[in-house]
Amino acid sequence: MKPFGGPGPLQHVPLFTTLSKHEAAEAARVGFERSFLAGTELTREGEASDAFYVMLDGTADVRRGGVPVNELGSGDFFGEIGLLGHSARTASVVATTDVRTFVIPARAFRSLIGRMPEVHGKVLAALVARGS
Amino acid sequence: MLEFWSPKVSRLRRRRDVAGLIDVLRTGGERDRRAAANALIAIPDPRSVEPLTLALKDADVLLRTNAALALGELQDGRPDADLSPIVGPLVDALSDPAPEVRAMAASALGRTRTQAALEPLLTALGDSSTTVQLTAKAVLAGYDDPRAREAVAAA
Repeated sequence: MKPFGGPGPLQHVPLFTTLSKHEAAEAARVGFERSFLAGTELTREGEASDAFYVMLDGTADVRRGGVPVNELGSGDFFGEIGLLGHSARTASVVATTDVRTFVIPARAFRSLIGRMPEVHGKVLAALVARGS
Repeated sequence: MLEFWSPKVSRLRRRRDVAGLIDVLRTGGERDRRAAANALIAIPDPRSVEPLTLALKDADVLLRTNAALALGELQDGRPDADLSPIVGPLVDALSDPAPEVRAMAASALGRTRTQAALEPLLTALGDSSTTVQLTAKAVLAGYDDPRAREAVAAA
């Protein structure tokens, strides 16, 4: 795990592209980078949500009941549903290649949304587009 | 983000000085108060319930937004606690004129997962703001309740 010193790769992630450089740097400051090897489970269905994940590199499968229902790639994010409320993860995410993610812990994510309510709107819009 | 720029609050936040943050929330200037409410999201403490509840009625929308989020953090680790001092003001905030405040109140209520919040959240599914509707839908998905499941499926 390692923190970013500035906006880092977040300024190229669609969720954060409308933020100013300063705002992207602020978003980067509250999280950290974490890498996973191919085949690793990033999150597990049914477990409590404790963080918001943004995919920086690599691909991963979203699985419900062990069945792949979606594929994630660079710029995609997951973990938001449980953070908005307090529900368990609705799916597992399994790395299909080596994966690099940006992780924002739950409470830090909600604090970030307090400072940048537009991120909340963008996350919800993505949920709708995804049909979650 | 300049709306939250407060060196004073940054120092208090680093020291996790809840009493200091509450003092700023009660008596500080506009930006300091917003920053203090935001800091209390990250440092939940039961002492902040009353000042955050008061902040929910402030004229500043950003302060109200952050006060709602901070109140939502105060249920963590308190499964048997009396949440009515938190739930009541958050339910009232679902009628706030600002949709961003209503959305954050819905999110915060979802974190309490109390039965008292269920009916107001079901009502919020019909809010005039899409953001509020979607937030209510997302948090109701966390309820183990047949009415919530039915409403989420229909929304």
